[in-house]
Amino acid sequence: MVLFGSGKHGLPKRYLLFALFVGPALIVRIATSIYPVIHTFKLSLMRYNLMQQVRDFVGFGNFISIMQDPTFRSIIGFTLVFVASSTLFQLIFGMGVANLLNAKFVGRRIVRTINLIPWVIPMIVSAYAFRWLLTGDYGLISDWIVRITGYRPQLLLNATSARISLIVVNIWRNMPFMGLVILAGLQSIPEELYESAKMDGASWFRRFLHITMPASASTVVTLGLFNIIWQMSDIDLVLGVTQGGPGSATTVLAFRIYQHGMLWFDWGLASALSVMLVLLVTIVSLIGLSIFKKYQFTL
Amino acid sequence: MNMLRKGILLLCILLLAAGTVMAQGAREPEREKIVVGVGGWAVEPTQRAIEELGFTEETGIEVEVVTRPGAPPEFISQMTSAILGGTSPYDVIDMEDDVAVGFSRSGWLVDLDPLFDDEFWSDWPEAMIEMTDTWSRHQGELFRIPHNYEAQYFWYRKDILDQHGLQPPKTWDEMVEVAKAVTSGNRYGVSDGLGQGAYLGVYMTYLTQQAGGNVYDMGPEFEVALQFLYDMIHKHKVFPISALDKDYDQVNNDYMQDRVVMMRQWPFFYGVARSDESWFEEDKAAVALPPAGPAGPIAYAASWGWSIPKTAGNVDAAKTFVEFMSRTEHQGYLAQLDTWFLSARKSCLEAMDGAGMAKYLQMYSDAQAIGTRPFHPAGQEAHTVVEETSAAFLTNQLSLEEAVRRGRERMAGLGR
Repeated sequence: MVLFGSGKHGLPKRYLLFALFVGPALIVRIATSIYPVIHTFKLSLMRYNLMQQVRDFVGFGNFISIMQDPTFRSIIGFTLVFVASSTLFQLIFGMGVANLLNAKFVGRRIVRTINLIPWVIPMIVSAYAFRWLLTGDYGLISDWIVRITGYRPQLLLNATSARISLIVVNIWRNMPFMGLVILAGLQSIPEELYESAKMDGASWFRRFLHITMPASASTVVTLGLFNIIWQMSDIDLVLGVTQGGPGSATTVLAFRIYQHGMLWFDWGLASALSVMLVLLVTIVSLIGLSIFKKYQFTL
Repeated sequence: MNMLRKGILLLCILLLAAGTVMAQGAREPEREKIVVGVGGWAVEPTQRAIEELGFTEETGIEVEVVTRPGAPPEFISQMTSAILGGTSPYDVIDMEDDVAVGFSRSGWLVDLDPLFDDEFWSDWPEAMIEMTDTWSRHQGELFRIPHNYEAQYFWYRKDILDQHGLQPPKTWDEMVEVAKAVTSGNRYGVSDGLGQGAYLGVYMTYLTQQAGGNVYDMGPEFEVALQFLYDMIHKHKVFPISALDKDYDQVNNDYMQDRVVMMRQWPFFYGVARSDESWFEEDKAAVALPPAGPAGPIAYAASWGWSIPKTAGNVDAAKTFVEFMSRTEHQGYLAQLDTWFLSARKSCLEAMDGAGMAKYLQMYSDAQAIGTRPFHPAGQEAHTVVEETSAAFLTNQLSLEEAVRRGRERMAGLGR
């Protein structure tokens, strides 16, 4: 009662205890999360280039420079297309995989493990492997296409095919994880629901539409939301497969930040791009959350 | 109980003895050790040079030669993280021009001027000093000491040209005509390593200089050069589009698999060609002057050199290494050991006496075909703008006018 009471001497001790328990975690959180965000925002308002040895305040100058960059619009455009289409197809195929893995068959546990292989391979390893598979003169996939059609494609030297290749590799890589999480959701659906629907004469498709889909909707929306956030800041795939090329056709915003910050030492501009990325992720998250609330209400 | 006591006593004696032995060992003076990071192709010659010149015997410093990432983006990423963290994976780094510029402007490299006196510089020709001042000095400080001086050479298959009764081309137009005559099936007349990330920018710099311009100006000469390359790929079909996805190793492989007849390449190909004894013949790797563009036959020279990061673990020992490897009396031996150490230093050319690549260096030098490498203070970023602009046109994403207009806009924005 002395420590946790609200008596004359109890209150300060409660605060002291609270500070002792929460303080260290709070300090770590501020140092590793809040400070970098504030510092990045501060840098975004500065012309800070190590190579030019300049560090001065320019207000929104960096943001204006970004807007004036003729490649910026296409970079934002491809970033959105890359993330949206990857996420959409990962969810669709992930749902299919989850349903297959939810079926009862011999060796189901082994198949579930095998399913995860693409996801457990580090992204940068997969990316470099696919670069070699897709490259025009030596690639295995190109070779198959030559054998079938007689035409040797240069998949990574055409803007459209390079973009599609990147999206397909991304889907291949992340789909197993999506499938696994959706599978966990499917397993929580009571079997009785399916049995009673069957007794009422509902077809497989109707059972999927009226039981599986609504029951897994919140999982799918949450998963999609997280996936969008992760993929917005992902550079491994672009770095390994296309290096942003041909030209800047497959450059995504996160890769441009890497170039400005780590290769060209222009930290002011890299920070400004990072702030824009945060804004983009925030907007997408808010939209996602509103959809999430809608589905929660429905359920 | 007595047994237990004896056992404990014995254990104590053994531990004491082991401790004494270890302490004795610890008292022996440890040799200093440095780590030298070089490109994968230079590991073996650097190790041999250190051993055969007796560096460790003379200085007592042991050297571990390791491979640094060869591609600039990977290397810069590695070093940026390390240096900002106050460390460095290497005490000495073998560094290329454009990367060294970025690091020096960032204030990350040790000033090497105190290591070299006037007598040392008297071994250097004017052109190399001029190049060193442009690419290896910043605010008066020498941040890198070049160990080679590489022009880009025009390699061709003399055996194939002889079969067709052709001479090596002297102009761009002749190059297209010769290439048309020898292109067939899987074999292309001309090729190069033009992958994005350093290679395409180098080739565009080379062609633009032959057209009479500076690639970073993105003027009419750049347009002429870009159109010329585009025509070789798409109109005349004598240059494979797949070159845009290749590095130097891959184009060397194509050349040595008889899939390419002519190519521009750095001097290291001299050793690469001779390393495959079953393939190599002198006529398969002949060298001619570069085909002349509108401004003549020009091939700019570049260099690699030794640098020491300020965050290196052993800066003093690293300085000893750099001074040792740069000594005038060692240059002749180093150039004979490997073309990687060939430069235009007087001692070097004297020792080579026209042998190996020195013959071609002299040929290019006599023809005044060695140009100065264009410089841009934004370094890698400017290089990337050149590459993205060129690739956008060469892969038919944009028209020449639109690609160049965007390139100029971006280049103008670099000085913001």
